Amino acid sequence: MKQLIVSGCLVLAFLSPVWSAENVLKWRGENGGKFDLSLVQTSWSKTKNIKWKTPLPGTSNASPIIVGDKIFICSEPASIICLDRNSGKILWQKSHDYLDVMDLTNEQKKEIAERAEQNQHLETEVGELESKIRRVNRILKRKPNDNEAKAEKLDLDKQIAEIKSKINDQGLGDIPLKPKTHKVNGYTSYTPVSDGKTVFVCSGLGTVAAYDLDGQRLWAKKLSIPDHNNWGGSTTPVLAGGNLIVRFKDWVGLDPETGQEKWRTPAHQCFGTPLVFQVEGKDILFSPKGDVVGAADGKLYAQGVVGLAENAWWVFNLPILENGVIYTNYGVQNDPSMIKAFEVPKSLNDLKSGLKLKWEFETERMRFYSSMIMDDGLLYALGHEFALYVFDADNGDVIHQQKLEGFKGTAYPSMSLVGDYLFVSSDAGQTQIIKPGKKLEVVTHNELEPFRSTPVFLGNAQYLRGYEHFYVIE
Amino acid sequence: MIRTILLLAYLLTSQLNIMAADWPQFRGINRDGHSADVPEKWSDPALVWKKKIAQSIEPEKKYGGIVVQGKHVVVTDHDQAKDYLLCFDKASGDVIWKYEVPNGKEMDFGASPRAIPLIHDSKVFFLTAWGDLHALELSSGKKIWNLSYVEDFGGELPDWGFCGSPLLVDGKLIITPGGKEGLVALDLADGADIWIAETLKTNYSSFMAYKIGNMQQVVGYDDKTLRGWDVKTGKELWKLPIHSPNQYIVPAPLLVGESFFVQNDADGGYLYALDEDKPKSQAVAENEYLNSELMTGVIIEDMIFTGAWSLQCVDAKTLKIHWEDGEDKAFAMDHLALFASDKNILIFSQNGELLLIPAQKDKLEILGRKKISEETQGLPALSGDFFYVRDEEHVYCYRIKE
Repeated sequence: MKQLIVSGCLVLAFLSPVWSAENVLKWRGENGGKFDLSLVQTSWSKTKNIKWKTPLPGTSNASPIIVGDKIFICSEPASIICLDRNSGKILWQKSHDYLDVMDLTNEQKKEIAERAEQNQHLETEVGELESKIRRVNRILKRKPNDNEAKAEKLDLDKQIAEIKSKINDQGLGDIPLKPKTHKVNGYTSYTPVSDGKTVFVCSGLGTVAAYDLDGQRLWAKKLSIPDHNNWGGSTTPVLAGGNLIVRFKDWVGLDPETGQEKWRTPAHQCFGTPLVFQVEGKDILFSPKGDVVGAADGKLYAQGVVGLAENAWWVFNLPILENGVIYTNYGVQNDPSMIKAFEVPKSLNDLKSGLKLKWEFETERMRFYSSMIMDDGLLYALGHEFALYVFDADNGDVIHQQKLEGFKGTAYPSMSLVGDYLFVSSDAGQTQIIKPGKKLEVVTHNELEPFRSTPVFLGNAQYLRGYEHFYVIE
Repeated sequence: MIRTILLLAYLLTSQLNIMAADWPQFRGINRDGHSADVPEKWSDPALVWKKKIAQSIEPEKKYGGIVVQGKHVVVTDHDQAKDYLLCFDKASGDVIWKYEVPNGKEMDFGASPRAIPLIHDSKVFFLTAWGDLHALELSSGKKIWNLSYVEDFGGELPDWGFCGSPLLVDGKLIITPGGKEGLVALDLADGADIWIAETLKTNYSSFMAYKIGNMQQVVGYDDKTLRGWDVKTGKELWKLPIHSPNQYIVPAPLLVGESFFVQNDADGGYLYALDEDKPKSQAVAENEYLNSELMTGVIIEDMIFTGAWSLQCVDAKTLKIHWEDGEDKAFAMDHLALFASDKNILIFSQNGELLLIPAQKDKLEILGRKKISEETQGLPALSGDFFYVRDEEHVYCYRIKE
């Protein structure tokens, strides 16, 4: 386990009220990817217009969040890093891997470490014997009556059974194996969220942790592993209805103060993050998969609203809410790719029958990793290979459609609207700044190191988490 | 560098009985993208035949490609339920045989076979995305033997499936399940293993065979390294840690004169000079803009032609870009298949266009171009006067010389 870096920072005696102008507290900020700023730099490279850059110990797809003078980012496999916003210095780093979050005595930790080492040794032995078995099986495949090989196989089987019986995983208690994940996804695609005092973070190991701004862990817990058993998960935690809401499998409402579970509601599989909207003053979650859940009580109002089967996984982003309409999109190469607009109902009673579809549009087949942007009555949707659709947000008419030129890689980061400019990025490290509208005009094309994390904007700066460095561009 | 060391990237398959006009494996006879059949001048491709291939209600994207030997044009195909290997008559396009295996399982970007089949003498070897290798009789499509990278060699299925195209060298079939039995040399006759070498988990790039010093080496990537093995014994000769932030590498490692040229889509291109029979650990040149994601370049004299959502002409010693074009829609693609002669390069773009350019460093010149198929990442084949290409719905044969 990594030693934590103790920061020289003093704990603030009193916390000033949270001004949204000084913070970006969640993925895509308060306005769904829109940042009302005017002085942001539109031209940069690895060496040009970089205020500072800091090498990072590991990669992550999570976006940064900013609380006052501190930037919080994730790092594989289950770490949170706090950077000083002015200097770029790493103030502290903490891990919420399984072993970190379980309350263990030193004795227990030692025992677990020894057992793990012993088991690893035994598993290596088993691995070697299994390799031998495969060799014997290959011989038997061609010579089924080779008695020598048959005898060797029996002997090897016996040896493996013997060693396996020595592997003691009981002693490891609840400590599960590391779940599988997709190379592109990793364990830290979950952007942290904060209320200005505490930072909450999830990892694809199924852990949730709360840290104060100085790196003290307030609580941590282990929930279930992500429900996509090969690719991990990425549903970013949400603060709403007085709860911290996370999803690995079920929707789970946690007390932000203590981490205590307050409610649990079965969810449909999804990589995306729920939007929070209000009905009769209550916070309601709308997942891009179409789960509609009360944030305070976990009440399931509706499910499958967008029309996908329970295990359809091709839902990746954060829906947006503008003028009482929720816009969401999903897609994959071998199933319809859809843009859908739903009206937010006036009453909770109406919510029970789901959300009324305002319009829908089937695009060419593609994935929508990027979340959408709405500006000046126009809705922008970006496919994974840079097909950009511009819709009349009111009725779903296609105003414009084109493949953006000059991009390499995949459009993993979400689009942002910063002042008058649309920022479109690829995981090859490219960003194009586009003047949005009925006709698009590319203003600049910028190159940096690769990144999948969506940048955030504050003051006159862009905060960007690359695979290997953190950059402040201004 | 010791002068006496002879470094030739010549082909180990050249000892085999392959007609000059064949295209029997990934990147052709010599696995270097070179062919004497690249046209000297442009002639508009004329369609000779066009055949419909596997269709299903919800088709999945098709990868893989085409190989040609004698009258046999062998094509990988895929639909929601199955993988196919189709054999067409080169002249008429009539189906000679069809081999199919059940698939229908879920994989990121679809479960189509990725690897290019390999033809040797009377056999064709066909690898699925799941690591099932089938050895078939070329004349009939009848199965001779089959094995599984996962079951028989303990290979761990990569996120995007097994992609490396099988390699034939020294009369052995080289496969890459990855792991304890990571690199395996097989007997062509029955698939029995001749030698086995341990690697890390397999990567996505195809292995290559090069003569380095006095030794024939098998060279390729595992998860974190580029390595060389003695083709006779499977003994590991060297390894080089590879930095790849995206954790996958598709372009094959190329021997360029006395250096290895390697590319990945996050870091770009690197040149590692050889010290006798192995590369030195420090790159002698690098260029971050040579960040090819999928395509493998070709070498002509002191030029490397490659691309990173563009077409690039690169100095083979300094890795400086002579010219690059990412504006032309045909070049602004993930994948370009390049066919090189000493003079010209025939380019098949993922967007379905075929183009001919002269191999020159002063400027890009397009001698001719024509769209010949729909968009596809399937690799086409060049054989004699004919060019064979497969998109999602059809296989086409074009005459490309007058």
